Amino acid sequence: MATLTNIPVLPYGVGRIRRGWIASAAVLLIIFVVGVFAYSRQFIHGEEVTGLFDVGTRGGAPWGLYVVFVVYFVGVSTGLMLIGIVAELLKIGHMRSITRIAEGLAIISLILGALSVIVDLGQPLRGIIGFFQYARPMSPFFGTFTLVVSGALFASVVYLFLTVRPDAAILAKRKSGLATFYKWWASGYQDTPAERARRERSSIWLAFGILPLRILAYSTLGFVFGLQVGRPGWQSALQAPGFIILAVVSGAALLILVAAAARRIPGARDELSIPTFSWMSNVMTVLLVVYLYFLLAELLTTGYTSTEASWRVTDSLLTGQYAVLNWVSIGMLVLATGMGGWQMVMRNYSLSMMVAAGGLVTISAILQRYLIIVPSLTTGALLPYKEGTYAPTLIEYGVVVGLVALGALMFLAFLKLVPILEIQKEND
Amino acid sequence: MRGFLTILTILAGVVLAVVSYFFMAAPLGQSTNESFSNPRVPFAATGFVIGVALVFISAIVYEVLPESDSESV
Repeated sequence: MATLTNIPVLPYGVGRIRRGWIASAAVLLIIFVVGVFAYSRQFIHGEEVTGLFDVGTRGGAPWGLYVVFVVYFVGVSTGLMLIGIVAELLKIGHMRSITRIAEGLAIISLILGALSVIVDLGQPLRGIIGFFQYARPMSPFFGTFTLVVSGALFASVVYLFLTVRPDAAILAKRKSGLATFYKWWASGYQDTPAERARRERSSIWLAFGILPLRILAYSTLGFVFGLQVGRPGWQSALQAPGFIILAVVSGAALLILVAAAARRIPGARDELSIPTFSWMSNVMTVLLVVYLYFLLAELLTTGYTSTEASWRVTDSLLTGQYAVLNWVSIGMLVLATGMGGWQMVMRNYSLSMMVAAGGLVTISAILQRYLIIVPSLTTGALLPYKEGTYAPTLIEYGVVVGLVALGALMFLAFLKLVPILEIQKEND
Repeated sequence: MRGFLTILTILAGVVLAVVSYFFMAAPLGQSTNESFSNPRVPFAATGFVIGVALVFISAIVYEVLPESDSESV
């Protein structure tokens, strides 16, 4: 294990720009620029260049890939923050080493979620001003966006700022080009017993504030769908809890993938050990079982008691135009559950198997969001319109890939500014 | 002093959020015309956002403000 005496001037590769980092950043920057170009086409020509069309007479879906990624990014962010905070709060030893990664990813995902909303708007500026000026609290959108913008994002930034502060105080004393930056971040922290006690106390209070807020914010996003009486397939009491479960599942999956990649960072391999990954894998597996149970319960309910419109949506998922995506997605979830369950029962964990399960769940989690949003719009009309379709255009794919590249770029920058693991702990 | 400022920030945030939500944004009474589609006061949502942000800023106030001589923990 690293100690303060044997770690380099700035630990975990912080502040050191190497060729691999520059090459990765350059590739991501190019992809991001392609995304910006794609968005510029949409901004100039309007949403006509996308595959988004009105329901009914135009037979399309006004919510498509962008909204899928709003739900995905905000969900991942919620899941990551819940995992990070619970690990801190319950002082789960093995999980504490991934809390910093979880907090950083949570903030980045939330920014990407907000950007996904903006790219979905025909007039982004008008949307932003209109939201702050005219938002109504009776709308689930009010809860979603005020709580996500104010609560979740702001609270997560405050939480990260305060948890990194003790580390920043240590780094500020070391000779580096970032010393002034860390001095600002440490903002006078001297690691006195009183400051430590305050840190502990405020960390607990912040956690108690953020946990319900995050759950409420993401549940409200579930209610955006669940409360729509006129949209068969969406209206369900299980939407909000299902959103939360899938959020933690996809957060854990992404965390496994990123933490596995972070093991390449000098000094991080010992801390990001197999027991850390096994905890995340177990959390993911148990919640996957719950999510699959929710899927089954929803399927049985709509299958037995649904109206004709509601059955059309279910049928499109089981045997219709979304059947392949649906069964592939469920197959991936079942396979990931099996892989996680097998390791849990045998008590024999393999990093490559956990990473593979994480990859399957990440892809499936995006597909699940697609299958929640799109089929109800194209096939769930209560009026006698014929079945619609939705096919994302290259512009939409370009924008989404650009957003993902932006997120990866932000995470690369995060790695160079913030130690990926707590160094205060080593000091103890 | 730090404790007082922390509580003051929390209270300011809670009051601003509650007042913005219930008294400036939510339309009261039965909807009778299109004006009920807008909040009673424009930018009420902004007040709510700032209120929630203030509650969390209180943690920074609590941790970052320097300790006075008379204070212990």
